[in-house]
Amino acid sequence: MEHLIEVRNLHTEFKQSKGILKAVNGVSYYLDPGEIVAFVGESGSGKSVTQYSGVQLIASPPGKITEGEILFEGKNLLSYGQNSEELRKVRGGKIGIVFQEPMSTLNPVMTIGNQLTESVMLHLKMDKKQAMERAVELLKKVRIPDPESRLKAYPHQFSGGMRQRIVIAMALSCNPKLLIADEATTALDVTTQAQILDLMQDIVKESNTAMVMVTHNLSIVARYAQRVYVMYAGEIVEHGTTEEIFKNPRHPYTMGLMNAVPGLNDPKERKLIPIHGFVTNLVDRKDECTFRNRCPYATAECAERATPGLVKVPGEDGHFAACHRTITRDTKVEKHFDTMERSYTARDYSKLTDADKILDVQDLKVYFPVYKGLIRKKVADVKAVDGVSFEVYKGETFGLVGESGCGKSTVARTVLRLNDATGGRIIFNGDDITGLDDAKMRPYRRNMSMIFQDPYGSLDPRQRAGDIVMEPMKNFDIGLSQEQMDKRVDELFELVGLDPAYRERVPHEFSGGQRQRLVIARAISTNPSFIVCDEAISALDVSIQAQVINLLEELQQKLGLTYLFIAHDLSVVRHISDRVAVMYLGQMVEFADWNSLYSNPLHPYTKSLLEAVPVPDPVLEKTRERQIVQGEVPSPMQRPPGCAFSTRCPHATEKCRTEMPVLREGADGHKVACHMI
Amino acid sequence: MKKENKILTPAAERRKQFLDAFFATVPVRVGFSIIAVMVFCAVLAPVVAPYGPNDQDLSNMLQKMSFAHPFGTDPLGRDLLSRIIYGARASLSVGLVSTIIAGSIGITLGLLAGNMGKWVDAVIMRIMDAMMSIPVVILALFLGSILGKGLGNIMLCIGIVMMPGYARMTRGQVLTVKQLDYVTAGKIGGATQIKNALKHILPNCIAPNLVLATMNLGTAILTEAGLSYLGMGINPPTASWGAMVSDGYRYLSDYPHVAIIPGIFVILTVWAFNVCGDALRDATDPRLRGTR
Repeated sequence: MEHLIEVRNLHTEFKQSKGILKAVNGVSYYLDPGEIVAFVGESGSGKSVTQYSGVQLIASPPGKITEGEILFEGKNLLSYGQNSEELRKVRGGKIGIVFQEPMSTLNPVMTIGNQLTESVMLHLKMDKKQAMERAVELLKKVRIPDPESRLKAYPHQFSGGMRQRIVIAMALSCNPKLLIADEATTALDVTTQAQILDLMQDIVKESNTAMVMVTHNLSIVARYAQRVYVMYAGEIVEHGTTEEIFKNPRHPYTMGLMNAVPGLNDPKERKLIPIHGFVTNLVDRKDECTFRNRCPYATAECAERATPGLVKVPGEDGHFAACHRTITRDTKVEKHFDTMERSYTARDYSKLTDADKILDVQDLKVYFPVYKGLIRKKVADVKAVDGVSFEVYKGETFGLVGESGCGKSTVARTVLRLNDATGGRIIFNGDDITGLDDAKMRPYRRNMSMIFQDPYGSLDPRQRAGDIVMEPMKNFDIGLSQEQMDKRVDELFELVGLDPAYRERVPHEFSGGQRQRLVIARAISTNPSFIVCDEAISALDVSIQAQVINLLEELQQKLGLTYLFIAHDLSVVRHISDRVAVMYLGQMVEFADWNSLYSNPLHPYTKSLLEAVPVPDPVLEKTRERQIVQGEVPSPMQRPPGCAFSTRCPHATEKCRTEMPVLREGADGHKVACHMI
Repeated sequence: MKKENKILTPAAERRKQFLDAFFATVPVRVGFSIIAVMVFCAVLAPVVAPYGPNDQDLSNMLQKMSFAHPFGTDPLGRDLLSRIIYGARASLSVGLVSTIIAGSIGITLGLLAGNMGKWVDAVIMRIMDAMMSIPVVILALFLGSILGKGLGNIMLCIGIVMMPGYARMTRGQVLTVKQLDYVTAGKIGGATQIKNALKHILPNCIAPNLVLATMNLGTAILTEAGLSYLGMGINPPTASWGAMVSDGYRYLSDYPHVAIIPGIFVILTVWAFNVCGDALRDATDPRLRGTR
């Protein structure tokens, strides 16, 4: 049977000063109409380059497709020139692409109506009027309310989720046969992500379009894809149907990916198993298994053999793996890179007193004034945080979850006194630090620290690694001599798993994971007791995520640290936290220990968040009932008068819309702010 | 390549890394050599120059290039090569010193404005705006009439005129860099506002200023010529490249070399400083180091 697109033995190279980087090394795959196929792998695995090679969107030079065939509807796309008429007809016409960042995909100075009609007029040879009709039709298709009037709006007037819908509408504008979604939902919140993915799935089914889903998120794959290609270092290492891959993974890398991510249904004792080491340098690659250096199953024999090709897994139809050995989940591991166990003991919060509190936040309010007009009159307040109270006990991990814009980062920054509080009190170690000025605040700063989201942005690019870690010690003058500080830097490097020989390096010479380790080393250098982790692992690849989570847990045990752990990834928060608070639009809507929150969520918002999270298990996903909450988080400028969630809540009554619910305590300290409970 | 057996101290290692990165490309080596030769000749002008800069020889005026006069002579029969060598003293020092004055004051003001905000920002930036609204030559003439003639004053005057550009550029950079996580991290790590500004913000605001400075260098040399032409600058017969260009243009149709040769030196200097400025920016930025 002829496939819609069939790629055979594709090779893409990039010429670099140090040699030739083979980013795609003999990749073959196919797609049939109506299929959703996922390409999974970490950054640098070549999954995006493979897709862009297919439509010749590789910058050339330095990139070059050196070998292979790309048969799209029977024609070899590589026989067309990069900018040829034929290829342009295919690209944008028959193949639509949805990129990761909706804000940079859309032109900010053009109305979305013009952007939509542009390609329609070009590819479908429509006149202006027809094109406008088509644009309205497309916006309806991606479920944008009131499409006629929205055509005149500019991209910045839409929310992130809406923008991504528009990008999808653009990709669909010429009825493509193939849709490539490159990390299309990675930048979005969980509920929006679920909405968008469901939408894309519906569209694909309706129009019999094939879709390639490029992602690093295994859970999404489990829910939406029919087949999976796992990529590593520019090669496909495993291929099969989603059920088979998840039930019976055959490549050590696939297994590694699965072991590295926490799931919503895991036992709390499960330790995440990161993939050890780094991707081998692909410049001037050798003919051998590239995963060998990180593989826990590798034997001496693997080193002597050439690159393994994809081999059919016996007894399973359409399941291929590229491994010299026959590995299953039960195969004995050759070498352990790490300990496998983790212990978890729940503490009894009823016995704790005020003296055990490290942080006590009482009715915290943070408002940002909005000025307008010539004389800059204050017209309103953005209530970023509106009456949040919680306490954090020594040695625990307090999780704070919520979608973007819910105020969780503002809480963190205010607790660290990087923002001023408009109202309420922040009590740190028994002292009220709410109104302290910079000078009075400094002695407290020694005891509190922060780990940031972006390991690239949180390190001064001009500072040496050793200086970065030493700086807080010098600033706070913790009473160590230069020699002692030097020694301590070395110790800290070892503690976070960095080679002290790297002290003279600058941040850009480290990988993402190493940088985050450096950030952690800096954060613990003055022996603080309290650390805020603001999305500390969200920018990292899954295997590195696992390494950093394990490191944070290890340090907590060794040094008795307390974490305020902020994240939007509910599975990770569940894995790491003792107690969890859920925030929505500046308020806390639910608060409980991790077990009761995840097994018995009370607030409709918590429920919908949990339902939106896909689980990395296709069988479970098929049977799971879920109701994706519709709509989006309202702007804090237009907060609903009653319960903030009432505009999206399926159970909302008249009371909810007019009266604000208060946080009430139920059994076992489980607090919830809802009229219906 | 010879194998390095020496173990370098960290500081020496950094110096070596920096020099390797700086001299990585051929244009930089050429540009740097040009600057070095020019500075060498300017300093040792009396030894290097074949004639005195003001030695007139009216029987040999407007000569073409020859062995006796490699670049020919000007309308008063002065040797152009000698005048260019002596002129380098005035031109290079005007270019460098006025750029340094403009850069140091401008960057300081921009750093203050960006970091302090509020009324400090408003006052500094409104003054800069006011200065920018006046045409360069007119402002320079005005300042020159207050300060008086002379090489030192002309440097100061050009420096002040070019200062607002640096202040604006730096302030904009500060506002961006201030928001970055590593500045927040500095604050959490106990750095005072001043320390944060000097250690984390300032170094990360320098790069665009370096580019601006290399561009301004040429402008400064030519502005000096303009001012000299208007009678504000260096008194004739003291040689400066700018003055030589503006004196020579009258003979452009018949004796083009009189204006073109000093012009070529201005272009060469500007190019050399441009290349070196770019290389300096790349070599001081760890992210760009070794990308070329």
